[in-house]
Amino acid sequence: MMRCDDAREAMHHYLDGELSELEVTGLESHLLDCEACREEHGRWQDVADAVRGAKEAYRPAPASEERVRAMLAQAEGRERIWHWARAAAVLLILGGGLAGWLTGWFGHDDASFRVYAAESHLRYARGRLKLDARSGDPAALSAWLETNLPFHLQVPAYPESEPGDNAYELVGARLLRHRDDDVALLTYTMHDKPVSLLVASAEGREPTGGEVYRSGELEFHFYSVDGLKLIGWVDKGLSYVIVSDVAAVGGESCVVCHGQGADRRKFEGLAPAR
Amino acid sequence: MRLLTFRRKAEPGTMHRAMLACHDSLFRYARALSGDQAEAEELVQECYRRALAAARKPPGEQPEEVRRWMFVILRNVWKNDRRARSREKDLEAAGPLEAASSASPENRLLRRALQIEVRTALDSLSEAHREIIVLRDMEDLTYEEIAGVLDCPVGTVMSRLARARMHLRNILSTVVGPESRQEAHR
Repeated sequence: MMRCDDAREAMHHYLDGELSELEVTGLESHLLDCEACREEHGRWQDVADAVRGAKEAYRPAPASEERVRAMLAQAEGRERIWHWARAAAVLLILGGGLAGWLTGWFGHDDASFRVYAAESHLRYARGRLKLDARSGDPAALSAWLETNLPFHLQVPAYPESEPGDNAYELVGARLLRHRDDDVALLTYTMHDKPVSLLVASAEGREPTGGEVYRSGELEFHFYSVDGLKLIGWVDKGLSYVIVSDVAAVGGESCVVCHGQGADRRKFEGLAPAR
Repeated sequence: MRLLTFRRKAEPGTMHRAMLACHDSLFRYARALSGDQAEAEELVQECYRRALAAARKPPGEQPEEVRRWMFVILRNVWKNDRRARSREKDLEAAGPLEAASSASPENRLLRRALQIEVRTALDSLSEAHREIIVLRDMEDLTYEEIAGVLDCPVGTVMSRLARARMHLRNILSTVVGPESRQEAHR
């Protein structure tokens, strides 16, 4: 005959279905004979039932599942494209020995970084992405990023301006992950609208396509995605994508933010690449 | 002679279906960890992002493996996020409550009230106790599966679960009884 102490310890495992057949038999026969343990078991059963019944209180908004569905569909599309691209690559290599050309072509796919920048911007703009650090001081934010990022990122200070002159203001930063790498999202506000800058190591994240403008040695790629304006560029081993919904297009959009003093002169020289 | 065997890679659709099937479970776990509806949804999105980006995934034909794997990812996302920032808990932003439509209006109200009591009681537990109760009593993970998610021995799972339930039972002692049990089964 099982003792009450043993029975009470076994009750949890009994409710969890973790007892052996022999132990179940022992406990059940004890419960038949012992009213106190039967009541105790009933109380534990009540708690377990109440917790199970509360599942309905933990429901996500329908939009949550919709977003996951969209994410999975997008990933599936990419995987299919990648599957066919691999098949095509094999055929091309077998047929023409074009490996070098293929490396050049596939080695610079930045689309996922660009898409991630746009997604992150929207999440931030909708208040779904909280910042890790809030500061309008570029030096303070740079110091914080220095201890949290695997790469050096100096947050630029707005040049040659008087207080209150700035077209945009720094708000803060959030650390994110893209392709298993730590990346930084810097956020600004301009005329009360959010502007985001996503920064990561440039490896495999070099921008391609879009409308291309050059300024000195830098090449800027302009894209328009679902009403958002994106500008991508690479500088000193880092890839940048700035996202906003400013009305200007192409090279003009740089002057919208950098419209003061020396900053303006730098970006007025922006010219379409040939 | 050496035998070469090839295992067919699961179609992306199979894997993605298995991942999608975890959505509500992941949300409940995320909600239990964060105590906040909006943050839980954010955690779930980030969990899927990481899962999709992972180089090594469990086979899509084993949905239980996929579910356990995604619980682990979600927990890691939560731990990393928590390390990176201090959070503000907003108990007011609790999720929408819905009850099965087959019950009478009175029973629905009673059940709704009990759900609120249980959720409030769970929110008042420590994070370690909250997550272990949700994994076991809502998600029906075995002790071994929970040990895998929490990265701890099975013995720890059993003792922690017993303590968590005792706390919860004490908190719920005034609202959970034979009457509410009958309601739950209706």
